[in-house]
Amino acid sequence: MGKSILIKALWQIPAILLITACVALGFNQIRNDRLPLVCQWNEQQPAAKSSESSGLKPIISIEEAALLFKNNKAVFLDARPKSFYIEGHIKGALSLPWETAEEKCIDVVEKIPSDMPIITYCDGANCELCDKLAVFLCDLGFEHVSALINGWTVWNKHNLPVNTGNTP
Amino acid sequence: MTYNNRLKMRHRISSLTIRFVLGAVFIFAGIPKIMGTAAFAGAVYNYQLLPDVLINFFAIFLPWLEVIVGIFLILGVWLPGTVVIYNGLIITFIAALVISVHRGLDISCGCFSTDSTDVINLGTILRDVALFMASLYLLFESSIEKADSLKSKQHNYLK
Repeated sequence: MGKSILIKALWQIPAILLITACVALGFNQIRNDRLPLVCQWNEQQPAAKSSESSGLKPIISIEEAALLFKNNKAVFLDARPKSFYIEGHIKGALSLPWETAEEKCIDVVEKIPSDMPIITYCDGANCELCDKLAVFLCDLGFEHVSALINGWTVWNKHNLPVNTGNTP
Repeated sequence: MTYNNRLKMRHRISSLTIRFVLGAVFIFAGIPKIMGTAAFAGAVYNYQLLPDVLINFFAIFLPWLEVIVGIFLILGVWLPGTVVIYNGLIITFIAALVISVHRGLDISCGCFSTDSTDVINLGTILRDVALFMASLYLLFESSIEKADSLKSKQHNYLK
Protein backbone atom coordinates (compact mmCIF):
# COMPACT_ATOMS: atom_id res chain seq x y z
CA MET A 1 0.00 0.00 0.00
CA GLY A 2 1.26 3.47 -0.83
CA LYS A 3 1.88 6.06 1.87
CA SER A 4 -1.09 8.24 0.86
CA ILE A 5 -3.37 5.18 0.84
CA LEU A 6 -2.14 4.22 4.31
CA ILE A 7 -2.91 7.71 5.62
CA LYS A 8 -6.40 7.51 4.11
CA ALA A 9 -6.92 4.10 5.71
CA LEU A 10 -5.87 5.47 9.11
CA TRP A 11 -8.79 7.92 9.30
CA GLN A 12 -11.25 5.79 7.34
CA ILE A 13 -11.02 2.77 9.67
CA PRO A 14 -12.20 4.58 12.84
CA ALA A 15 -14.81 6.44 10.75
CA ILE A 16 -16.25 3.15 9.42
CA LEU A 17 -16.23 1.61 12.91
CA LEU A 18 -17.99 4.67 14.34
CA ILE A 19 -20.67 4.68 11.62
CA THR A 20 -21.21 0.94 12.17
CA ALA A 21 -21.53 1.37 15.95
CA CYS A 22 -24.14 4.13 15.51
CA VAL A 23 -26.18 2.11 12.97
CA ALA A 24 -25.94 -1.18 14.92
CA LEU A 25 -26.82 0.30 18.31
CA GLY A 26 -29.53 2.51 16.83
CA PHE A 27 -31.15 -0.40 15.02
CA ASN A 28 -30.93 -2.56 18.14
CA GLN A 29 -32.71 0.14 20.15
CA ILE A 30 -35.68 0.41 17.78
CA ARG A 31 -36.22 -3.30 17.08
CA ASN A 32 -38.91 -5.18 18.99
CA ASP A 33 -36.65 -8.06 20.08
CA ARG A 34 -33.94 -5.74 21.38
CA LEU A 35 -30.85 -7.50 22.68
CA PRO A 36 -29.54 -6.09 25.98
CA LEU A 37 -26.07 -4.61 25.48
CA VAL A 38 -24.67 -6.55 28.40
CA CYS A 39 -26.11 -9.91 29.37
CA GLN A 40 -24.41 -12.10 31.96
CA TRP A 41 -24.07 -15.36 30.09
CA ASN A 42 -24.52 -17.81 32.94
CA GLU A 43 -21.19 -19.67 32.96
CA GLN A 44 -19.33 -16.59 34.17
CA GLN A 45 -21.64 -15.88 37.07
CA PRO A 46 -20.51 -16.88 40.55
CA ALA A 47 -24.02 -18.14 41.37
CA ALA A 48 -23.99 -20.38 38.33
CA LYS A 49 -20.50 -21.60 39.06
CA SER A 50 -21.46 -22.71 42.50
CA SER A 51 -24.66 -24.40 41.39
CA GLU A 52 -24.91 -27.93 40.08
CA SER A 53 -25.81 -26.60 36.67
CA SER A 54 -22.65 -24.58 36.19
CA GLY A 55 -22.11 -26.18 32.79
CA LEU A 56 -25.36 -24.77 31.45
CA LYS A 57 -24.81 -23.05 28.07
CA PRO A 58 -27.04 -20.50 26.35
CA ILE A 59 -27.58 -23.02 23.57
CA ILE A 60 -28.05 -26.40 25.21
CA SER A 61 -27.72 -29.78 23.50
CA ILE A 62 -30.50 -32.36 23.60
CA GLU A 63 -28.29 -34.71 25.64
CA GLU A 64 -27.70 -32.09 28.34
CA ALA A 65 -31.38 -31.08 28.32
CA ALA A 66 -32.49 -34.73 28.62
CA LEU A 67 -30.13 -35.26 31.56
CA LEU A 68 -31.49 -32.21 33.39
CA PHE A 69 -35.05 -33.39 32.62
CA LYS A 70 -34.28 -36.88 33.95
CA ASN A 71 -32.83 -35.46 37.19
CA ASN A 72 -35.69 -32.94 37.44
CA LYS A 73 -33.09 -30.15 37.50
CA ALA A 74 -34.65 -27.77 34.96
CA VAL A 75 -37.94 -26.17 33.99
CA PHE A 76 -38.86 -26.26 30.30
CA LEU A 77 -40.66 -23.29 28.76
CA ASP A 78 -42.53 -23.76 25.48
CA ALA A 79 -42.10 -20.58 23.41
CA ARG A 80 -44.47 -21.71 20.62
CA PRO A 81 -48.06 -20.45 20.29
CA LYS A 82 -50.48 -22.02 22.77
CA SER A 83 -52.22 -24.17 20.09
CA PHE A 84 -48.94 -26.00 19.41
CA TYR A 85 -48.42 -26.53 23.15
CA ILE A 86 -51.89 -28.12 23.44
CA GLU A 87 -51.14 -30.41 20.45
CA GLY A 88 -48.06 -31.70 22.25
CA HIS A 89 -45.22 -30.50 24.46
CA ILE A 90 -42.29 -31.70 26.55
CA LYS A 91 -43.68 -33.40 29.65
CA GLY A 92 -43.77 -30.92 32.53
CA ALA A 93 -43.10 -27.91 30.27
CA LEU A 94 -44.89 -24.64 30.92
CA SER A 95 -46.37 -22.63 28.07
CA LEU A 96 -45.01 -19.12 27.58
CA PRO A 97 -45.60 -18.14 23.93
CA TRP A 98 -43.14 -15.49 22.78
CA GLU A 99 -45.98 -13.28 21.43
CA THR A 100 -47.51 -12.97 24.90
CA ALA A 101 -44.32 -13.31 26.94
CA GLU A 102 -44.44 -9.75 28.32
CA GLU A 103 -48.02 -10.07 29.64
CA LYS A 104 -47.89 -13.64 30.86
CA CYS A 105 -44.31 -13.97 32.11
CA ILE A 106 -45.21 -13.00 35.69
CA ASP A 107 -47.83 -15.78 35.97
CA VAL A 108 -45.38 -18.34 34.60
CA VAL A 109 -42.18 -17.32 36.37
CA GLU A 110 -44.02 -17.34 39.70
CA LYS A 111 -44.16 -21.12 39.38
CA ILE A 112 -40.41 -21.46 38.82
CA PRO A 113 -37.99 -21.61 41.79
CA SER A 114 -35.46 -18.78 41.42
CA ASP A 115 -32.41 -21.06 41.37
CA MET A 116 -33.92 -23.56 38.90
CA PRO A 117 -32.35 -23.56 35.42
CA ILE A 118 -34.78 -22.68 32.63
CA ILE A 119 -34.67 -24.27 29.18
CA THR A 120 -36.69 -22.59 26.44
CA TYR A 121 -37.64 -24.41 23.26
CA CYS A 122 -39.67 -24.08 20.09
CA ASP A 123 -39.65 -26.06 16.84
CA GLY A 124 -37.57 -25.92 13.65
CA ALA A 125 -33.83 -25.36 13.25
CA ASN A 126 -34.44 -21.72 12.27
CA CYS A 127 -37.02 -21.03 14.98
CA GLU A 128 -35.87 -18.05 17.01
CA LEU A 129 -38.73 -17.95 19.52
CA CYS A 130 -36.76 -19.87 22.14
CA ASP A 131 -33.68 -17.63 21.68
CA LYS A 132 -35.81 -14.51 22.00
CA LEU A 133 -37.54 -15.88 25.08
CA ALA A 134 -34.20 -16.88 26.62
CA VAL A 135 -32.77 -13.39 26.06
CA PHE A 136 -36.00 -11.84 27.41
CA LEU A 137 -35.74 -13.93 30.60
CA CYS A 138 -32.03 -13.14 30.85
CA ASP A 139 -32.97 -9.46 30.59
CA LEU A 140 -35.48 -9.95 33.41
CA GLY A 141 -32.69 -11.16 35.64
CA PHE A 142 -32.90 -14.95 35.34
CA GLU A 143 -29.40 -16.33 35.55
CA HIS A 144 -29.69 -19.90 34.34
CA VAL A 145 -31.46 -19.71 30.99
CA SER A 146 -30.68 -21.88 27.97
CA ALA A 147 -32.34 -22.41 24.61
CA LEU A 148 -32.87 -25.86 23.09
CA ILE A 149 -32.71 -25.25 19.34
CA ASN A 150 -35.30 -27.17 17.29
CA GLY A 151 -36.40 -28.47 20.71
CA TRP A 152 -39.75 -30.11 19.97
CA THR A 153 -38.43 -32.07 16.96
CA VAL A 154 -35.21 -33.29 18.61
CA TRP A 155 -37.08 -34.16 21.82
CA ASN A 156 -39.42 -36.42 19.82
CA LYS A 157 -36.51 -37.86 17.83
CA HIS A 158 -34.96 -39.00 21.11
CA ASN A 159 -38.30 -40.51 22.23
CA LEU A 160 -38.30 -38.46 25.41
CA PRO A 161 -41.50 -38.03 27.50
CA VAL A 162 -44.18 -35.73 26.08
CA ASN A 163 -47.66 -34.65 27.07
CA THR A 164 -50.70 -33.19 25.28
CA GLY A 165 -53.40 -30.74 26.31
CA ASN A 166 -53.26 -27.76 28.59
CA THR A 167 -51.61 -29.48 31.55
CA PRO A 168 -47.82 -29.59 31.93
CA MET B 1 -4.98 -0.11 -26.79
CA THR B 2 -1.44 0.15 -25.41
CA TYR B 3 0.16 -2.53 -23.24
CA ASN B 4 -0.07 -0.21 -20.24
CA ASN B 5 -3.78 0.44 -20.78
CA ARG B 6 -4.48 -3.26 -21.26
CA LEU B 7 -2.78 -3.99 -17.94
CA LYS B 8 -4.73 -1.27 -16.20
CA MET B 9 -7.99 -2.53 -17.67
CA ARG B 10 -7.17 -6.10 -16.63
CA HIS B 11 -6.50 -5.04 -13.05
CA ARG B 12 -9.60 -2.84 -12.96
CA ILE B 13 -11.86 -5.68 -14.11
CA SER B 14 -10.37 -8.26 -11.72
CA SER B 15 -10.47 -5.75 -8.87
CA LEU B 16 -14.12 -4.85 -9.56
CA THR B 17 -15.12 -8.52 -9.77
CA ILE B 18 -13.34 -9.40 -6.52
CA ARG B 19 -14.81 -6.35 -4.77
CA PHE B 20 -18.32 -7.28 -5.90
CA VAL B 21 -17.97 -10.95 -4.87
CA LEU B 22 -16.33 -10.21 -1.49
CA GLY B 23 -18.82 -7.44 -0.77
CA ALA B 24 -21.79 -9.68 -1.62
CA VAL B 25 -20.38 -12.46 0.59
CA PHE B 26 -20.23 -10.12 3.60
CA ILE B 27 -23.70 -8.65 2.95
CA PHE B 28 -25.26 -12.13 2.68
CA ALA B 29 -23.34 -13.23 5.78
CA GLY B 30 -24.42 -10.21 7.81
CA ILE B 31 -28.16 -10.00 7.07
CA PRO B 32 -29.25 -13.33 8.69
CA LYS B 33 -27.24 -12.40 11.80
CA ILE B 34 -28.95 -9.01 12.02
CA MET B 35 -32.33 -10.74 11.75
CA GLY B 36 -31.39 -13.32 14.42
CA THR B 37 -29.09 -11.37 16.75
CA ALA B 38 -30.05 -13.42 19.82
CA ALA B 39 -29.17 -16.73 18.13
CA PHE B 40 -25.93 -15.20 16.82
CA ALA B 41 -25.05 -14.09 20.36
CA GLY B 42 -25.41 -17.75 21.36
CA ALA B 43 -23.08 -18.79 18.54
CA VAL B 44 -20.53 -16.14 19.62
CA TYR B 45 -20.75 -17.34 23.22
CA ASN B 46 -20.12 -20.94 22.16
CA TYR B 47 -16.76 -19.97 20.67
CA GLN B 48 -15.68 -19.21 24.28
CA LEU B 49 -13.29 -16.53 23.08
CA LEU B 50 -14.90 -13.33 24.37
CA PRO B 51 -15.67 -12.22 27.92
CA ASP B 52 -19.42 -12.29 28.75
CA VAL B 53 -19.81 -8.52 28.84
CA LEU B 54 -18.68 -8.20 25.23
CA ILE B 55 -20.76 -11.01 23.69
CA ASN B 56 -24.01 -9.10 23.11
CA PHE B 57 -22.27 -5.94 21.89
CA PHE B 58 -20.18 -8.04 19.51
CA ALA B 59 -23.31 -9.88 18.26
CA ILE B 60 -25.04 -6.53 17.62
CA PHE B 61 -21.99 -4.80 16.09
CA LEU B 62 -20.32 -7.47 13.90
CA PRO B 63 -23.21 -8.24 11.48
CA TRP B 64 -23.64 -4.52 10.73
CA LEU B 65 -19.90 -4.14 10.22
CA GLU B 66 -20.05 -6.98 7.68
CA VAL B 67 -22.98 -5.39 5.84
CA ILE B 68 -21.53 -1.86 5.83
CA VAL B 69 -18.06 -3.04 4.77
CA GLY B 70 -19.73 -5.18 2.07
CA ILE B 71 -21.72 -2.21 0.73
CA PHE B 72 -18.68 0.12 0.86
CA LEU B 73 -16.58 -2.49 -0.96
CA ILE B 74 -19.11 -2.83 -3.79
CA LEU B 75 -19.71 0.91 -4.12
CA GLY B 76 -16.00 1.73 -3.79
CA VAL B 77 -16.49 4.02 -0.77
CA TRP B 78 -13.41 4.68 1.39
CA LEU B 79 -11.68 1.72 -0.23
CA PRO B 80 -8.33 1.78 1.64
CA GLY B 81 -10.03 1.69 5.04
CA THR B 82 -12.71 -0.77 3.91
CA VAL B 83 -10.16 -3.22 2.48
CA VAL B 84 -8.02 -3.09 5.64
CA ILE B 85 -11.09 -3.81 7.83
CA TYR B 86 -12.16 -6.63 5.47
CA ASN B 87 -8.73 -8.27 5.78
CA GLY B 88 -8.73 -7.78 9.55
CA LEU B 89 -12.14 -9.41 9.88
CA ILE B 90 -11.23 -12.38 7.70
CA ILE B 91 -7.99 -12.93 9.68
CA THR B 92 -10.01 -12.77 12.93
CA PHE B 93 -12.58 -15.27 11.58
CA ILE B 94 -9.86 -17.69 10.48
CA ALA B 95 -8.10 -17.42 13.86
CA ALA B 96 -11.39 -18.05 15.74
CA LEU B 97 -12.20 -21.07 13.56
CA VAL B 98 -8.69 -22.56 13.84
CA ILE B 99 -8.67 -22.16 17.63
CA SER B 100 -12.13 -23.73 17.94
CA VAL B 101 -11.32 -26.67 15.66
CA HIS B 102 -8.04 -27.16 17.55
CA ARG B 103 -9.96 -27.19 20.83
CA GLY B 104 -12.29 -29.82 19.36
CA LEU B 105 -15.41 -27.69 19.79
CA ASP B 106 -18.47 -29.06 17.97
CA ILE B 107 -20.28 -25.73 17.56
CA SER B 108 -22.27 -23.77 15.02
CA CYS B 109 -20.09 -21.64 12.73
CA GLY B 110 -22.42 -18.61 12.77
CA CYS B 111 -20.73 -17.64 9.51
CA PHE B 112 -23.56 -17.28 6.99
CA SER B 113 -26.55 -18.05 9.21
CA THR B 114 -27.47 -18.67 12.81
CA ASP B 115 -28.52 -22.24 11.93
CA SER B 116 -27.15 -24.73 14.44
CA THR B 117 -26.52 -27.29 11.68
CA ASP B 118 -23.78 -25.08 10.12
CA VAL B 119 -20.96 -26.56 12.19
CA ILE B 120 -17.30 -25.52 12.07
CA ASN B 121 -14.86 -27.81 10.28
CA LEU B 122 -11.86 -27.73 7.95
CA GLY B 123 -14.16 -26.72 5.08
CA THR B 124 -15.25 -23.52 6.83
CA ILE B 125 -11.58 -22.63 7.48
CA LEU B 126 -10.64 -23.26 3.83
CA ARG B 127 -13.59 -21.13 2.69
CA ASP B 128 -12.33 -18.23 4.79
CA VAL B 129 -8.75 -18.75 3.57
CA ALA B 130 -10.03 -18.47 -0.03
CA LEU B 131 -11.78 -15.19 0.89
CA PHE B 132 -8.57 -14.01 2.57
CA MET B 133 -6.55 -14.67 -0.60
CA ALA B 134 -8.98 -12.57 -2.61
CA SER B 135 -9.03 -9.75 -0.04
CA LEU B 136 -5.22 -9.78 0.09
CA TYR B 137 -5.25 -9.13 -3.66
CA LEU B 138 -7.31 -5.99 -3.03
CA LEU B 139 -4.96 -4.91 -0.25
CA PHE B 140 -1.89 -5.13 -2.45
CA GLU B 141 -3.62 -4.15 -5.67
CA SER B 142 -2.25 -0.64 -5.62
CA SER B 143 1.35 -1.85 -5.36
CA ILE B 144 0.72 -4.44 -8.08
CA GLU B 145 -0.66 -1.71 -10.32
CA LYS B 146 2.41 0.43 -9.60
CA ALA B 147 4.76 -2.44 -10.43
CA ASP B 148 2.86 -3.22 -13.61
CA SER B 149 2.88 0.36 -14.76
CA LEU B 150 6.67 0.45 -14.19
CA LYS B 151 7.01 -2.79 -16.14
CA SER B 152 4.94 -1.41 -19.00
CA LYS B 153 7.11 1.72 -19.10
CA GLN B 154 10.20 -0.52 -19.44
CA HIS B 155 8.40 -2.54 -22.11
CA ASN B 156 7.57 0.59 -24.12
CA TYR B 157 11.14 1.88 -23.69
CA LEU B 158 12.69 -1.37 -25.01
CA LYS B 159 10.42 -1.45 -28.08
